[in-house]
Amino acid sequence: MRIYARKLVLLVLLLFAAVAAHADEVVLIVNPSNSLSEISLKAVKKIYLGKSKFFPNGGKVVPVDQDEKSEVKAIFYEVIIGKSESQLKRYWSKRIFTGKGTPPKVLKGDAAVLAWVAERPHALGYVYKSSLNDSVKVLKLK
Amino acid sequence: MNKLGRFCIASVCAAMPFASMGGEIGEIQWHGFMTGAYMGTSGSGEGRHYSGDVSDSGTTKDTRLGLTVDTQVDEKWRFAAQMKAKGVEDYNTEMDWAYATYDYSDSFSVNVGEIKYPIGLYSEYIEVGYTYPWLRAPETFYNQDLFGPNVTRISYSGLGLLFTSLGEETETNLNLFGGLVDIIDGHLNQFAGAKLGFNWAEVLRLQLGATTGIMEIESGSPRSGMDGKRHTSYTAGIALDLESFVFNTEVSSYTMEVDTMDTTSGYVMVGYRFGDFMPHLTWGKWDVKGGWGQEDITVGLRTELTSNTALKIDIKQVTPGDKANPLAEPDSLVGSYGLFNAKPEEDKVLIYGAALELVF
Repeated sequence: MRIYARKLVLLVLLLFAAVAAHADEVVLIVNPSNSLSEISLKAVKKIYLGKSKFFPNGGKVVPVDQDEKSEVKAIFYEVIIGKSESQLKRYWSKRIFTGKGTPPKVLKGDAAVLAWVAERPHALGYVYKSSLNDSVKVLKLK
Repeated sequence: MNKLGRFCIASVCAAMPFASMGGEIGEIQWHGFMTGAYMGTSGSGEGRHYSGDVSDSGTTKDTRLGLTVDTQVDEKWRFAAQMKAKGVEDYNTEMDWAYATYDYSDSFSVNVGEIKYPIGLYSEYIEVGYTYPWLRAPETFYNQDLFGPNVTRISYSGLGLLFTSLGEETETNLNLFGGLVDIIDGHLNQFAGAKLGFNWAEVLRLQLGATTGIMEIESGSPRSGMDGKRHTSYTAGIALDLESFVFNTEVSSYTMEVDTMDTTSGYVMVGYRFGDFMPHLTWGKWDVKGGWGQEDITVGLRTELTSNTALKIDIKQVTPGDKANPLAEPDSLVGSYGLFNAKPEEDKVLIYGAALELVF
């Protein structure tokens, strides 16, 4: 139990370090018509794990993911979602093969995600802050 | 077995290039799984078959593959279905399950159709070997042979109501379900059940279940004496996954209004992940009041080859009970002595095998 507690402390420290290093680089984006301006970490996790199909304001949400091999996805899942690739594979296998849900649509690159979110009022995505343009709105993480 | 008909896998594959990935309304997602398995036994001679197909000459009948399709019909309705082909059924392709879901909210949904049996931690994805450590999920709990433990079933036709409460890292749900279950030699009518589940961040899963139904057995079946009897089961399960240490246990108790058929069964499993390797140890027992059943110990190794592929090796030592199931005819049916179709010469028999598991 003591070893597990130490691992937990280490994980928390690593997460803080990761957030410090990357949190300002990856941003959540929605369509400009979305009335939401901020969203909780808990709500984002629920949406990206397929447990919630709605924004906190009650609107339908369709999340979009980035390519499996991209750095932006690795950062997003380690820091925001808190799951590794193998954990995610096991998690989604159980949901897919029971009909309980499928993982978010995958697009390759920030440009594709920006274009997709800009065209859809229910969309939620994530990109590097440096890729942002006026076609989307940034959601603050609270 | 099911009423939804058989589907030609070739036509499904032919349709695949037209399917698009996505989670939007009208778009379709395809996923699949495959198990390539070989199993054999140390028991020798005729009449030593284990669970109907494992003999000293070996079998690949646990080999199976499946395709799952999922689509968001509109903002509230979803449809999903799974087709499977199994070696034990000569690769005839059939619908495993197919149901529509109405998502009223994140807290309440309704399922209608042919729905995978929800009792048991692994029942809903029992065909997808990639999702669990063993070659076969513990047979003292999950075996569905005619004279096996029969705690779990394949699927039911009917309705399921799912109530969900989401916490910061927890998910608690109550599943109320009912309808009709097809079994090998008849039906389980007036079927109803409830499952209460708790999940803490996929680290800890707890499950309690109860089902009841009336057996309708075909007149020619050796189990015809059970026709009209009420089948009632209670189950409990715990799964702990600390990424390195893994622990699973499930127990069941069921009655069929025939005193000698009262059954308790279950298993306990421990495993430890060393990177991509996970050795594990499982003890299981299936105990029928009439004096038959079996006890087994499984030592296995699961290796992650890639993020989509796993290799599994299991060796199981089975000790069948001394007494034969009086309903089973020796040398012709599964389940005369434990899951053997005849009494083995040895007190303990080894069942061994390997499987390659793939999801895509």
